[in-house]
Order: sequence, then C-alpha cells, then structure tokens
Amino acid sequence: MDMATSALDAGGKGIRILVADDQRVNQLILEAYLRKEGHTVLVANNGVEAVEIHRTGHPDLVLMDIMMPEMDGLEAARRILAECGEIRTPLLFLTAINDQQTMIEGLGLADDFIAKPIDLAILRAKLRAFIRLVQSQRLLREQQQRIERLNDDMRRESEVAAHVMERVLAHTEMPDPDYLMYRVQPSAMFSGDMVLARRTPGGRLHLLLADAVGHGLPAAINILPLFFPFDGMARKGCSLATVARELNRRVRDLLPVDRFVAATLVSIDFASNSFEIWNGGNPPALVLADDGSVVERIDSMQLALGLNADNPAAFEPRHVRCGSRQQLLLCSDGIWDNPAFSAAGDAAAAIAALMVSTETRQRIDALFDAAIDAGQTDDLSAVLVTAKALPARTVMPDPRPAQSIGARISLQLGPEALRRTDAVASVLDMAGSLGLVDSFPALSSVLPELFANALDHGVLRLDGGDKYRSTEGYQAFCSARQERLDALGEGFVMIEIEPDYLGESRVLRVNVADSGMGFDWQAEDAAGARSPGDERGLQRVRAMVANLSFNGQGSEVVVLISARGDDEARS
Amino acid sequence: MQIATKAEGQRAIIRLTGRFEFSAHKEFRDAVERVMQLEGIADLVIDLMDVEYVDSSALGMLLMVRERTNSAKLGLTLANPRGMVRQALDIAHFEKLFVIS
Repeated sequence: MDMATSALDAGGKGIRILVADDQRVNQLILEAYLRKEGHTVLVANNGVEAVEIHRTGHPDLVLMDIMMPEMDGLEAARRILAECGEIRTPLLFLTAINDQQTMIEGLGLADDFIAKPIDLAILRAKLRAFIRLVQSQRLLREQQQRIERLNDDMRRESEVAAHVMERVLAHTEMPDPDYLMYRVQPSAMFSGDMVLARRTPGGRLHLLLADAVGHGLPAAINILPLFFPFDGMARKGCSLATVARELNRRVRDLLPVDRFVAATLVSIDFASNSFEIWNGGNPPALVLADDGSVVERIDSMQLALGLNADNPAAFEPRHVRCGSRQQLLLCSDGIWDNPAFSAAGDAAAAIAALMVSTETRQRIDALFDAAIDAGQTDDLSAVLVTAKALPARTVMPDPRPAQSIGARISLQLGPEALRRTDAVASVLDMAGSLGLVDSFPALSSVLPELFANALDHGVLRLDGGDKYRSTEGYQAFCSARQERLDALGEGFVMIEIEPDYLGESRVLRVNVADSGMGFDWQAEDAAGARSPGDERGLQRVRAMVANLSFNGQGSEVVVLISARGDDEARS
Repeated sequence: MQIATKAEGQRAIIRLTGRFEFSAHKEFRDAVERVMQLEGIADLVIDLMDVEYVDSSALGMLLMVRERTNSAKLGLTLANPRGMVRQALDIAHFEKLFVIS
C-alpha cells in the first residue's frame, strides 16, 4: 500500500500535512495542534526542504510560509505543483504579508491563504473543507488505479482468448480461389461468426458458417465449442445430418437459454457437383449462375443450433445439384442486414445485383467492401463455393442405369471394424462419392438404422424392449451395448449396396445381414403396428423405402430405396 | 428503444418502439419482471408493431421471456411483427417456439 493512503485508512479523518515554515515557534504550534486533531505532520525548514519532502513523503496537504530562506514559498509552491500529476496536492499559504502583488501571485498557485498570526479556529474550519477535498481526490485516484488494473487484466485475458481462437481456427482448411473462398470480419476484437471447412475421408468437403447471438468475446466463446465436434466428425466422414444434430446438442447443453448459434452446414461432392445443405436460422444460401444471377435460394429450414429438439427429422439436409462453374454463396446476417443490401428492402436482389457486376474471384471482397462502406455494426462472414467445371454429360439416367452407375459396394465388418464408431459413416461416404446418396437420398437414413439393428439386436443380442420406455432403460441399454461390443470376439455385419430395378423404376437394393439368430419377422408382420419389429426401428425404415423384406430367420433384411423424385416405385 | 407496459384484464402488454437490441437488455428485463408481478395475469403479449429492427440478442431476450412465462404457466404471444422484424422471426423459425399473431 502507498504510504500516502495510510493515515486516512487507519484513522478515518486524519491526513498527512506538510508544514513548511522557517520559524521554529510556528512549526511547534502547528505541529502540536495538527497532531492533536489526528493528522500526521511532516516539517520543512525552507522551500528546498519542502519540495524534497513533498516528493518523498507524499503529503495530502501543504501549509506553506511565503517568506523563507534558501527558497521562498512561492518558488517552492511552483515546483511542487509542477511535480504533481493531474491530481494537485492542495496548498495553503501562511502569510502576514499585506503586499497586494504577492497576494495575487500566491493565489495563482495556492488554493487558499491563512493569515498570520494563525487563528486556530479559522485554520480548523478551512482544514475541514480541504480534508473533504483530499478524501474525494483519494477516491478518484483509487478508482483510476482500479480501472487501469481492470483494463490490464482484460487486455491480458483477451490476448489469451485471441491466441486460442486463432490457433483453433488455423486448423480449418484454407481458402482456395479455385473452389472455396471465405472471409470473416469481426466488428470488435473477437468474432461471433465462424467459418469452418474440412475434407471427409471420401473426398467431400464439409462446411460450416456459424453465427452466435451477439458479438465480441461472449459470442466467440459460444461458437468455439463447435470447432472440435465439427472437425472430428468431418474427418470421420459423418453425414451432414449427424453433424448438425450433434452440434445442436452441444449448443443446447452448453449455452444459456438466450444464446443460440445460427448455422448453415454444407457437404459438397465435387465429383458430381451435388450439395447437401442444412440452414438453421441463417439468411438464405444462394446458388449463383456463372454470371452471378440467382438460380436458387435455400431459405432457413429450421431453428438455429441449440433450439431444435433432438429429433433426426429436424436435421435432414436439402439436396442441391449445381451446374458447372455455378457458385453457392452463404452469408451471415451481418451482411444480409447491412444497410448496403437491406436498405432497398430486398437483400437477395441487392446481393445478386452486386454479384452480377463483379468478377467471380472478387465477389466475396466486393460484398465486404460494400458492407463496410455502408457501416459495419455486426460481425460479417461469407463463403463462396465454386462447383467444378464438369464435362457435358447426360444428367438423366440412360436405359440401363445399373450398368451406367456400375457400382456395387459389398463388405463384411468383423469385431474390430464394428468397434469403430464410424463404420456406417465410412460406408455412406463411399456410397456418397459414387453418387449413390445423391440419387437415393433415403440411403443415409436407412442404412444407419439397418446397421444399428444388425449390430445391436443381431450380433450383440441386445433386447431393445426398454430402450425407449425411460431414460434409465436407455442408459442401461447403452452401457450393456458398450460392454458387449468391447468384449465381442466373433460375429459380423455384412452390407451390400447395389443399384437395381423394380419394374421400370430405378431402385437401390440394400442387404444387411448379421451373424445373429434373427427374430420372428413373420409374427411381426401378422401382428401389425405395435409388434416386436417396432422395437427395431423398422417402422421408420418402412416409411422411407419402396419395399422391405426379410430372409431366413430374420437375420438378413433387404430394402429397395426409390430414386430421388421417383416415388411411384413405392408400394 | 422505448418500452410501455399496460394490463387489460388478465392480459399484460409490453409495447416496444424503435430498435430492439442488446442495449435494451436491462430495461426489457425489468419491464418483463414488472408485468409478471402483476396480480391475476394469465397472458403476456409483446407488441412489436413499432419495432423497426431486432438483432440476435433481442431474439435471445425473447427466448428468456419464453422460459419465464413457461415456468410461470403464462401464455406468451409475439404480436404484429412487421418488415425486417417479421423477416428475422421467419429466418429464425421462431413460429416453432412462439405464438406469433
């Protein structure tokens, strides 16, 4: 603690007073009186000593005689005031001089005069006013120091946070003007917008444009937890719906009730220029023709991340196919709501007009320049993906598409592969890169369901009866499942996926067989709705496929999935 | 932003005017607390007729009110959103969480 603050803090109203007077008798009178009043007294015999003691002793108040040897009171006062910072030490002259010129000069320096010989009653009254001044000065100084300390703390904390954010985001895929451009421009030191990109093992590109409520550090903290699940799941090749659902869960679990994250997720298969897109709470994504005009817009489909119920249906992506060189543009509301685009009432049209007048590679920068010129009040972010230039080809299937697709996936997963949690995701990724997911979208929902049945009920022989009845039942199911999976020594799941025909319609045939004992599927068929098969989630699968049948004892299931937009194949 | 509150029978109305953004946080919360203290209120209406803009923090504040009214078993309606406000509620799909009239 500073010495200067001790007297007040210890005794309440006592302060430190410097008395500068060359007359010993005056020193004694003042010192005795001030001590009795509870103050601490420092004594100087002349002006030189007064300046020195003021510097080292930090008095709260100076009582200064004018006529002194060595250095007079006026000069000493001048030097003392020059050494004070913004907060001046109050200074009172003690004087018997009746010279008007000296009085005027003195008043320019001091806060007041006390006439000699000193009347103690007057001294006391004047001191009372100055003690109040000293106290408020001290409070002011303490507050200044506190603000400086807080500022320092905040700066240090911000630096740590900025460092972490920067290091985390450095791990996302870098922009490449050939196919992926993006930019994020915070309105403050931290961004509540984030763009992430990651290649899947199957060569798709998973993208996320996220915009957390508000901006600055709190918003940045709210989006940071999305990085690791997004990146990890993309690296494993998890489907877009799975990623979206997991991110929704994270936000809901971690953030306060008034915080959410608007997000657009995209998965791009450049081999076929097909996109999956899920937009929760962001402005529309726009598909742009080569010339910049809008071909299609994908409006917000669901609530933002954190607000959706944990229901798979909420995370089904939309499928979009881009033509050669077409672009997909995603923006956060910082751009969409910016006066540069919103002023005329139709942001989509204003953005499209700018895109049309801008060369492909400059489009992102043009958006940001316009928004910043018009006045940035929110974080800005945008992503522009350019579809590959594909050789001209027939989009419609030719008469024998089974041969034209020419793909059949067949694999058998043993205990080791089954323990890997991404087994199905890898298969779907493979199917996706062959264009099968694009042509038969239900595959990404049906296969995980069939695989889970084969593994849980076939290979692991778990009874799903209580799974959905209670939270406890579900937890018991999960822990039993993990135990058996860890201990699994033999068993397999076989998956076979192949394009086929049902009458004239193209279908995808999916066989899933397991090493288990099967179940009484005929009883299930006879009994109707609430039957053993329902525990196996088959009702949901039935709703998504053209046909579902069992072979043998029920340990092999075969489904036929209709092609996109080709629903007449459904029975 | 200006906030006016009134009660009509069992219904409390909070009427907002201007830009509904983070800076209105405290006033808005105080207004909500105030009307929720009123005797015999069964429904809360937030009138957005004269609101020209909402930011995402304002949407967050509405979620907070929703939590409060849900736990107090009160009805909650967002009334008369227009222009950019309507658009913001649409983009956020708040019709899935709120009664909007």
